[in-house]
Amino acid sequence: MESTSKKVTLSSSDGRTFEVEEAVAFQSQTIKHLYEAGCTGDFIPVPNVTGDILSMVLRYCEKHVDSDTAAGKESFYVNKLKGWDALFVKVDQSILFDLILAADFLNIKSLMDLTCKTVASMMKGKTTEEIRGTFNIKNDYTPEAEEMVRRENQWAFE
Amino acid sequence: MAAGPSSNVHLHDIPDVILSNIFSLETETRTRNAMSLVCLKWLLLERSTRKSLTLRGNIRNLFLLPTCFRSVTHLDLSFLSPWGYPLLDSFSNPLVLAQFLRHAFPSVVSLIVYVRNPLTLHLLASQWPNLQHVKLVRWHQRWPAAPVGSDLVPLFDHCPMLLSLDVSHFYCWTEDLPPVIQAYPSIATSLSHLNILKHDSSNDGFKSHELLSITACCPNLRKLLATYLIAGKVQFFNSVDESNGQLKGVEEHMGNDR
Repeated sequence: MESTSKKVTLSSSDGRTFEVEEAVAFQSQTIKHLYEAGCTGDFIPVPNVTGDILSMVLRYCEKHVDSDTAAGKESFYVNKLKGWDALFVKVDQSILFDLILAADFLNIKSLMDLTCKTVASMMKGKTTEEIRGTFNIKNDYTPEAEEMVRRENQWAFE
Repeated sequence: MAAGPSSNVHLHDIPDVILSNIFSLETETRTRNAMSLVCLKWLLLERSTRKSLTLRGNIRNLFLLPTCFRSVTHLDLSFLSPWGYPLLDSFSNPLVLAQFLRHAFPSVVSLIVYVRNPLTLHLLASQWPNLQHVKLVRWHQRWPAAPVGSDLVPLFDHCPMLLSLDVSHFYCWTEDLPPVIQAYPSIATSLSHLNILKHDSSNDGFKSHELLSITACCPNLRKLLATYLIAGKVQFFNSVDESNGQLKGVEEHMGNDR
């Protein structure tokens, strides 16, 4: 199998190169389209993604390369993969955000869904203050505007 | 941009379209309210992604309604206080109030509302002609002099795109439903969900011929919940059939019980 699968080489923004199987790289719609359009030389440039992040993304793609096959859809593998995904996104916030930007640029839907869900879960059940602390966000409300929004929110049954 | 492991990307470096998707994942009202107060950017993101709202307040104060929830597609008006009172009658001009509600929630396609009399539904349904999912609520007695089906006519009259109807918490007679469904064949054909369980009284249910006449008019029902009577005994029908095996399912069910 190894010898028959074609390989492609990707080059990150900081000049690192990664040789991976086509099936792994083509989970990125962006790379697939670039390749199909023939806009590639010896390697495919990924100008917006650093080597560190790209290697993580490729690790994710390798793990998910079988997820569309019949065997990959069996519940045993699905559950195992879910566990792997949960560990995969246990990273520093800024890495998580970098993964989102990479998933966006590379157009990898399942990775986008996974990372977005992770960010959403970081807000769940938190108070306004806790959310500001979690994401390091500065409150730019005037007291009057804040009071107005508070009053609007009271129209929603919690 | 060649950064090390910690590139210090901030949440706000993520494009708004992706942030909107993230915000859309949160459906819990308490968390959403907290999110709206984080900062002004979050207020815009939160309001533009709030799809569901159960309105809280007194029907006399509805004229104070804010217009910030314009993205809401699912609106529940059944919890307004004082509970169970006619929604629009307390206002001197009920039509203006109905228009006001439309103005505050222009995107509604799914509605839950306490309907004490046909006027409420007539005024509201005409504001949202794109309604697809409707749940009616009423514990009060049906006005006995009202013509059969008159409570439901405004809904079928104004909302040709109706896909699902839930009257399980709506006090009406079983005779009210069949004639309306027969009178609006195009809506009946497109209805996919119908919940006609009777919660109001333990000894009431559709007679089998009523249930059959309903399912005969609605060939595309994919989910039907119903309470019906066989030999004076209350039975429940619950079908989550995928295709048009629905009609047959009901007939067989009745046949077995006969």
